[in-house]
Amino acid sequence: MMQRPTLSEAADALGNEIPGRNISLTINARRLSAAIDDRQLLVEVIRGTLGLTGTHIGCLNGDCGACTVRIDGRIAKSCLVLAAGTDGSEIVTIEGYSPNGQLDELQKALWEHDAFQCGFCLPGHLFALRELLDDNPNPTERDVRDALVGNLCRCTGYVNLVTATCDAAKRMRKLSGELE
Amino acid sequence: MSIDIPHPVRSKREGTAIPSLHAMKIDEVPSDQPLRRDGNLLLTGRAEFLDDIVPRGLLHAAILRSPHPHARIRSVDLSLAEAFPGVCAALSGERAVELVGPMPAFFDPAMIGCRTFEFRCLAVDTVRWVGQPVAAVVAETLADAEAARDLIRVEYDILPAVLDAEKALESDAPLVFETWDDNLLGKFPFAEGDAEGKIANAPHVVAGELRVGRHQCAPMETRGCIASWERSGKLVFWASTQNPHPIRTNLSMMLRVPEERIQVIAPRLGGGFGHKFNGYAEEPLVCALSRLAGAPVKWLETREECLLVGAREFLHRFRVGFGDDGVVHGLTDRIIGNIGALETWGGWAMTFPAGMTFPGPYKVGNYHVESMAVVTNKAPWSGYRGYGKEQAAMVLERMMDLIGQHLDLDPVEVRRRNFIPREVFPYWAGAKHLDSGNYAGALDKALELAGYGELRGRQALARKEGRHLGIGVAFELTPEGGDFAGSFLRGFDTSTVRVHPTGAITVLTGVTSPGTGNETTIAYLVARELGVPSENVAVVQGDTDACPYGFGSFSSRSIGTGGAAAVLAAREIRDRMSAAAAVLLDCEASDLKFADSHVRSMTDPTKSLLFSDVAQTVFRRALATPGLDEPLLEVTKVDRPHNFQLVPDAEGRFSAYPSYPYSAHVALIDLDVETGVVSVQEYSAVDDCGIVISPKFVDGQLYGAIAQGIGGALWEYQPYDDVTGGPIARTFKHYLTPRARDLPMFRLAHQHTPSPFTLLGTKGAGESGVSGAMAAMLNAVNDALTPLGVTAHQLPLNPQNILAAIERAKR
Amino acid sequence: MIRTRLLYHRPATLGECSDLLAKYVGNVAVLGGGTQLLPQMTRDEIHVEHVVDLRGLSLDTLVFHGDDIEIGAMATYADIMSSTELSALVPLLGRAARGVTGGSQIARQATVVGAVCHNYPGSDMPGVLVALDAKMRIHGTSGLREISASDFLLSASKVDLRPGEFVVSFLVRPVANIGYCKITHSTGSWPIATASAVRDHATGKIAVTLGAIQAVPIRIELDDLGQLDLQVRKAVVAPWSDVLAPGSYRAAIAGVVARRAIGDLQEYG
Repeated sequence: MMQRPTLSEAADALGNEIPGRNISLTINARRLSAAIDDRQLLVEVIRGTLGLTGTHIGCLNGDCGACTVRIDGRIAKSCLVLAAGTDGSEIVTIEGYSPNGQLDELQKALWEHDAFQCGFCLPGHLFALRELLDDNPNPTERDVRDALVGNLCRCTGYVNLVTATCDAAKRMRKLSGELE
Repeated sequence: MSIDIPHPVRSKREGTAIPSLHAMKIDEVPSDQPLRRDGNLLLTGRAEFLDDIVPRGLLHAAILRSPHPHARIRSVDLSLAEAFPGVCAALSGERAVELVGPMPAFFDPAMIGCRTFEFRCLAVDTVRWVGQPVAAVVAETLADAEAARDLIRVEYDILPAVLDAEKALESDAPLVFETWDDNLLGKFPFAEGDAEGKIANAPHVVAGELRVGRHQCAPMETRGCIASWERSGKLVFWASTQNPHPIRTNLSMMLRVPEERIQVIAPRLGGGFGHKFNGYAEEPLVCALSRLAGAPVKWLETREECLLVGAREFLHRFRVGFGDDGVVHGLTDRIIGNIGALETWGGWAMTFPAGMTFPGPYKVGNYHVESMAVVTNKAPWSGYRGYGKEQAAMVLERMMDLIGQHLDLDPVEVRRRNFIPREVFPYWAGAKHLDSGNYAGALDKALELAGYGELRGRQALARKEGRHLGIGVAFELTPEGGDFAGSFLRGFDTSTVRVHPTGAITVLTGVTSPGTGNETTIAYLVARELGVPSENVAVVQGDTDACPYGFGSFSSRSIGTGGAAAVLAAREIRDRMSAAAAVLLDCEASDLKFADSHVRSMTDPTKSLLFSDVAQTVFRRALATPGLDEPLLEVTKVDRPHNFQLVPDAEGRFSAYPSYPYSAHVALIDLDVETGVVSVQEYSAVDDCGIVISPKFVDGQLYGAIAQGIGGALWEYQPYDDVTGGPIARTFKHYLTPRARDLPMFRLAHQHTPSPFTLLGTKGAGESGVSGAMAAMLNAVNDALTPLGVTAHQLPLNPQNILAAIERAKR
Repeated sequence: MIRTRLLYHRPATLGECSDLLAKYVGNVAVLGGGTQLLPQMTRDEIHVEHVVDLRGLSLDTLVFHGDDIEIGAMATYADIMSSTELSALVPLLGRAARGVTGGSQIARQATVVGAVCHNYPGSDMPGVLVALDAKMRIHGTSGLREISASDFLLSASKVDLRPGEFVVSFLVRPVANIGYCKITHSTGSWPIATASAVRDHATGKIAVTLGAIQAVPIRIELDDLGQLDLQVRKAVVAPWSDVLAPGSYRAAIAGVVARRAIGDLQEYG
């Protein structure tokens, strides 16, 4: 790999444009075009260019999950994605999690069970838990803990997150049972 | 000298609902407990944290940090960085001294007669730790600031460095500060009676060593700040901080700007835990950079920079002498804290409670503890939940288990025999005036909650199968609410309650919330006093333009200070509104009850007014209508727990902590002796923090504290490289904080022995759990290893440390 | 943040990809899943001005050609785990994939080939591929070549990829009887030690491959299970030390993981 620039190389670099492009994205069901730098991570574009600050940066190393969003229907850590590679993708951020502005059963349960404190890790956790419940409507405690291994929380010890999720699952099963 | 209690513990108004002073079950809590405030914002990504704030024209700063643990700076060449496209300003230490004065300490060692040093926001001639800021660059994007930073050329002359605290104490150790004659910041003795004599004559003596590896807070949101100089010359400073007002005062001094022309705003925090105490170089540095660049400047701590900030690293050498009955005759502990290169950060003082918390909940009249703060060339400490008290807990709880082991006595029984009994409170015990307690009761309750007997049975069965279960019992005494007169760590705080004409209410308070929920509790408390829904009470925190001067959040103080002050203020407002309503309703003020948004006569309920109407009438008619003599529906009060002894009493006793919550913990672990891997199976705790206003939030604090304690005991570690002199863990792949699958459910129960010294009977919640969890893990691991005759006293108790202990015992 | 003037390329053919890698040699990185590359670029540990994304090359497939199974360079852990056919034929892959850290996000973003090319000793996949006798299929400016996984893995973080080259896939054969054991510190920890036990269908002999113990995996053929401890001790000559554990610890538990993997094979494999 390239060595650090020498003084003259650095001088040569001055004046060069930062490579960039326009990408087309569907963000929270809205189609738009964004001007990005090739070197920008998706999370930078989401937070900076698009001003959607509900997605958070906690580590830039793929460890904490605070940057989790949905890309083309499945959750992904947006600090591990180059924006330049997402042209044509459908992205859902926490701002688009509840399209009709109402809290869903999971969100309500998290609040009622006091499953979050500072809330910094919450959007990432919400996406992970929502995906779990979409894939598995009847999770065990173990299933919930497994679904959370990609996300870090420092405030809650995960206790109420687990309880709330199991409760939300129960309520959702009941609701869908009632509809049938 | 007697303790002054100017306020009755109970409300004057018998009608308002106050939680019973008897033990309460969680499900007996009044159902009007509000959910955590702003949950709707947090759940939908609309909550604003520091990095979400983007003033117009914002620029970004990157900081060049020392790669050496100790070196002289020969030269700093900023020229290439300054020429890099997009760069707006660059600063070295030499230039910075003209812009930023010496930094005031979070807690000045000179206050307690210790040596100190002058610290600048950028190193001028010497660097003393890997990571110390040396220069800074500001550019239009963060990427360009970082690229430009790479072009700064610094020439260093390497100096000998010392990373190990014991080595730092040797006579030929390199000096961290050349103006000192050694590396000892201070030695804090805590002693009563004749510990050495008692130990010498004791029938049994056990000695040991406990090493606590360096670890730290690691909140999910790192630090950050933004400085913006307005056209008027006013400085607006946003910081992810726990202490906005002290930052304002300090910035005023460092930048030589009148304090009234500075506004500090602490937005919502993504966790604090002490990591976000003030006193960091980046605070004034970003202001200076902004001034130079002529635009707002933001600096965000990277995760790697966050892992620089230390918080605890200790070595204990302890001895305990005891009788055949397990009662302690005397104990000693010589504690060495490796506080790194000091700086003006808020952590070195944790070496004080590390010793002061002895002898904990135990009735030991003969002890001698000495805690030493030793400087080295590691990065310094900021605060961390537990604040040193976990050290005393770990050593004391090991002692209890070791005594039990030595005498073949259940360590639970050993504790019972040594506890301070419940009848003697309030009780003086070594620099602590303990407010109230039923230690044995809490322990018994915890054992029942955990099913202790059944756990021992399971353990015995497992042993037969060759499996090693470990049961760790631990008790934690957690002094809270510390007041360090002379510093900005005070034991009181201030709140203003303001009623508006429409009946809406705003509380402005000097305490801040790092995410604990105290704003919700404060709103609830004020709403309860005035008989209105919580939603009608706004709480403003963290804005120095709006809030009365306060000291922020630390030492679990917010409800006991700011919350109590808000209650007092609300009560006075209620008195004023009662007087007005009495005139309007033609009845006695004492006859009026505030409930359901109404002010109503208790004897004649038809005489009633809406709370909002009373308020509006006061504004519109005060000083005109006879009897409506008080137009001001705004009151500011100060309060604090009333259990301080900040001036030594006739017997020379001194107590800087007024509140003493405590908890008992029981943990079950499974230890794989072939690999040393520990798995936490079950965890139970009983907590007593006096009266609890918001049970859910208190539970939440306990869960988080226990998780941090487990992490610190088992996995979290920041090792240093002897060759580079720097920290090795740079990411969460290296620094292992607990994940959901590492932890079991935590079972909690409560006991409530109210504090006689606080307005609401509360004691402070927030730190409880860390000490108990660390001690419980330590005891559980050692309990599992007992059949092998192994002692494991090196934290973290990770697999290699446990395996090494097993190997050592074999030899 | 990534601080070079990075230019993003997405070639449409294997040839185009190799040409780009050759053209910018020394100043270019291959982007697979990105889970290792991007953080390293963010911290400037990797400093390049060109990144070549494999996404456009349709390398995310699992192809079953008779006795050979070809797993594309862009196949993720999730792809591995969700293939019922693969689970039946080569259960070791799914078994190890299930234990990879980072959550379901990483499972879907990270690739097996990426992990192997990264070749960080504290990881699962290098050991697994050596245990399976996998072959790496590599495309360069002169076309395709194949090399065994053990030959591919040169040393810690170093693999046999020459200018213009990138891995397009790896090939494995069905191995029914397997056992796996992995030791970590806690859930977030990369492996401290792994062992993959496989039984040769023809000879019935067991081989155990130790991963994360040394810079590269160690494969031990066992004639006599009683010799396991001795063979392991002889094989572990330069145990790997990193921030999570010293080499002495890895050496101390090498025999344990090996034995447990074999036990796993015998009981469940």
